[in-house]
Amino acid sequence: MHKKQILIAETVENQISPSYKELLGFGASLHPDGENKILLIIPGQNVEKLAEQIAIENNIHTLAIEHEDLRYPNPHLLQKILPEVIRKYMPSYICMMHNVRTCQIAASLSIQIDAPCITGVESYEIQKEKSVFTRMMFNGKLIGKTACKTDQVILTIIPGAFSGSFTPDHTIQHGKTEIIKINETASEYKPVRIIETISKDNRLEEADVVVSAGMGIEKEERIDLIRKIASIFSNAAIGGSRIVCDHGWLPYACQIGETGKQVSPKLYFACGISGTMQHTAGMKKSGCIVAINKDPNAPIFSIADYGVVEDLQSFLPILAARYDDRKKNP
Amino acid sequence: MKILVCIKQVVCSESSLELNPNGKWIQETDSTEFRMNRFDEYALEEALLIKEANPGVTIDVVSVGPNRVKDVVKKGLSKGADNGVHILYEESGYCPPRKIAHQIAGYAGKQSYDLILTGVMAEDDMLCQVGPMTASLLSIPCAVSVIKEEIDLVNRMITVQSEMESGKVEEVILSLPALLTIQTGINQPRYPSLSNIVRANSQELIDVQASFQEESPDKVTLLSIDYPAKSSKICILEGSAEEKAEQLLTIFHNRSLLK
Repeated sequence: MHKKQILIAETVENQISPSYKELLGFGASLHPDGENKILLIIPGQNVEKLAEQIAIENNIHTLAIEHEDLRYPNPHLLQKILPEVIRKYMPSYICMMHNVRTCQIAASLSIQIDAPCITGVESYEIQKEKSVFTRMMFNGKLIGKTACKTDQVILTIIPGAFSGSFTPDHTIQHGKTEIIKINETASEYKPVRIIETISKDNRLEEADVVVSAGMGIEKEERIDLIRKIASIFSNAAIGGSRIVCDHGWLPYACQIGETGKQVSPKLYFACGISGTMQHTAGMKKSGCIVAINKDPNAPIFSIADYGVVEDLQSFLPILAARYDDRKKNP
Repeated sequence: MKILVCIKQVVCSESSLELNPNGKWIQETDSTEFRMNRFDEYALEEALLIKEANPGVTIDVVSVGPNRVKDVVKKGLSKGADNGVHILYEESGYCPPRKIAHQIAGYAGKQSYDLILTGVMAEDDMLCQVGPMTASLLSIPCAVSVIKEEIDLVNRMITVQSEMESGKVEEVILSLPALLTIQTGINQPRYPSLSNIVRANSQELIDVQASFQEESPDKVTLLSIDYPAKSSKICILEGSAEEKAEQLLTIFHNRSLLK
């Protein structure tokens, strides 16, 4: 049986997010027998050429949806346009890479086309001919398995969760490109501009070691402990989880994660970080991950190489003292 | 101007979470602690800041769930909301976003709110769906992950900054009424004031019965929840704290990372 899929890519000023390749890989993995019919939708201001190029490179069908207001990701306009495309194509799966805007598209579409929607999918398995999707809950402390009762489902896929690559099948047919040019305007939602807020300070990206503070530090004063630990390494920088930055304990320039900086140092030293998907998106490619957390069930331990189950307040001073001892008596 | 803030009561996830016997949701006991979803605290604070900056603003807070959620509605009043609405939804266990959105939209649709605020996600299911679903049901524009907003009441517009990935921010203008999902860090949520606590204790909540008329049957089933598996590659260091510290230093030393 042919299963049809609609995959929706994201573009900013006509530049496609490279994660569309991951999306194709995920799409292909849904039906590994190769009987996939994939339609990749590329919304943007001027993306027809791009859609043609991707169709040829990957031998898939693409659909360029063009409108001036699609120069930035525009969930509002897309939720108006997509239901008609979906009704025409009748896909079993409608998939996007996960972020807050694709969640918005997924949730709005779910209402518009009355189809179930599962956001933040990390893995899936087939149970009794039904797809069962696994995703994080409770800040990663628990995982939930979710299934749906219909033949059509909208998914957002966590970046990095599916490593399967997409191999174009050149035996079937040539990828074709269609284009829809939208004329109607939505005066109730007007994109204005994109602002870069991240600091140009590259210390975090260039450090061999990132010592990172999570809410496990409990008090602002303990940032000093983190600084002390960072000082034992020859090339270290200090990072933090979003909530530590929200509390003002570290500047946002230090924030690591989906909405902050993405780092891949030789060593990532996670101190009191629970390890939500939003945080690990910014550090899971690190060479070696060492995690200290007093909660043995903290999700950070599911991606760490070395784990220490201890209270930071008592453990970090011991670590610093032992280091000083070693320096004095090498 | 009327603002509605949608708040969710969630289990305090800092404490250890116990699963219920069928493994489908958290076990609720008398000692289970609940609190206001952290993201919704920022949404409520933003509404309070808008009220302080603009005359004639009223704030309603609404929560959907069993009787225990009255506590977070009262908490909303004690922080300064004018009215508290409890939509009684008796079903125990997990309540999916679609059902919550239908209940909120059903209520909000009759009240002519100018602005609806809620947190970007709930800490328990982390789905980011209730906000956009509610906006979609009410056919009003929605912006997600908002970290700044500026209201132009004369032209009935709101300019918002939405957080994207990697430090990028998008500026969007929405016409009112609109729904915003609020990101953390936009403000510092206040503590309840004594006078508001006194008022919250005596003020009657607006009780609303859940309506099932427009609700389509839920098509997503949460089959089970479980603890995540530990990484198969992880090495958990054993011994006393001092021994663990020594082992770590050896690991760092062998990788030539120490000073």
